[in-house]
Amino acid sequence: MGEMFPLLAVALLIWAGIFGFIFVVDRKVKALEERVNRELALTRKGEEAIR
Amino acid sequence: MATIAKIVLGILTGVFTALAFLYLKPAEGFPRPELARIVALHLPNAMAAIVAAFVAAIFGWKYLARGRNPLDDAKSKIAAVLAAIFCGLTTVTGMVFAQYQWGAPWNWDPKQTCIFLLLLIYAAYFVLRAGIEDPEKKGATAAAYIVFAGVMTPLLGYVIPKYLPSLHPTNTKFDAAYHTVIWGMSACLIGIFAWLQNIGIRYEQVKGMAQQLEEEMA
Repeated sequence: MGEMFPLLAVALLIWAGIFGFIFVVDRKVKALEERVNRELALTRKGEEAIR
Repeated sequence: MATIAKIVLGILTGVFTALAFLYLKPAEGFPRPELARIVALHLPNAMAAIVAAFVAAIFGWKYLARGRNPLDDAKSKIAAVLAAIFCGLTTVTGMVFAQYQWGAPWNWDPKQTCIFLLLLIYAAYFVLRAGIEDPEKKGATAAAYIVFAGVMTPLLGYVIPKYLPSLHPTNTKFDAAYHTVIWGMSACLIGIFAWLQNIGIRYEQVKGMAQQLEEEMA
């Protein structure tokens, strides 16, 4: 079983990398959502003010 | 997907990976029994690929049957991308297994040939999407095709190779430990699929909103 530890460490590192990458992409999409929502709300507010 | 669910998913994936390395006994009857443990990653990838293919087919059918909603087309496309990725990972883990157990990574075994055909089917789907300009025509053609791919995935991945002579063991009896790890890892990979699908859908939605914003500004 002892010889499995280095392989396990590599496998866990790969998983950590994959999860880290997905987390970062998730955050970026969330930030994009917030920005677009904010801009949409501002545009609508502006349109209403003009009317 | 809630942050806590993502953290739990990450922890469970780590736990099942550790169990695959430390808890599973080497699989007897293979030339390299200790490396046969890769089956605990190979089979779950195949299961996640089948689930993703079904999701893609369901949204494809929904697009055709219920009002040609562009969001259904986007959901189907994202699931198809993920199905192709999981198919690719199944192929790679299978090739590692074949290298150590059968002496060569590729043997044109019926299962390998079938998964190669499946990869070609998904490649053709992306070529088809790229080749049609009109969004509605593209959505309808791609949806019809992905329903066909959804039917072919379990047929080529499981049913057809089952009835052909193969290097793949047909009388393998996994013990309880193998069942626990394989099903646990499958649940984790399906969870990762759900997370990625969610990110993809949100991205498509935000892209649509940004387009709407641009139109309003113009």
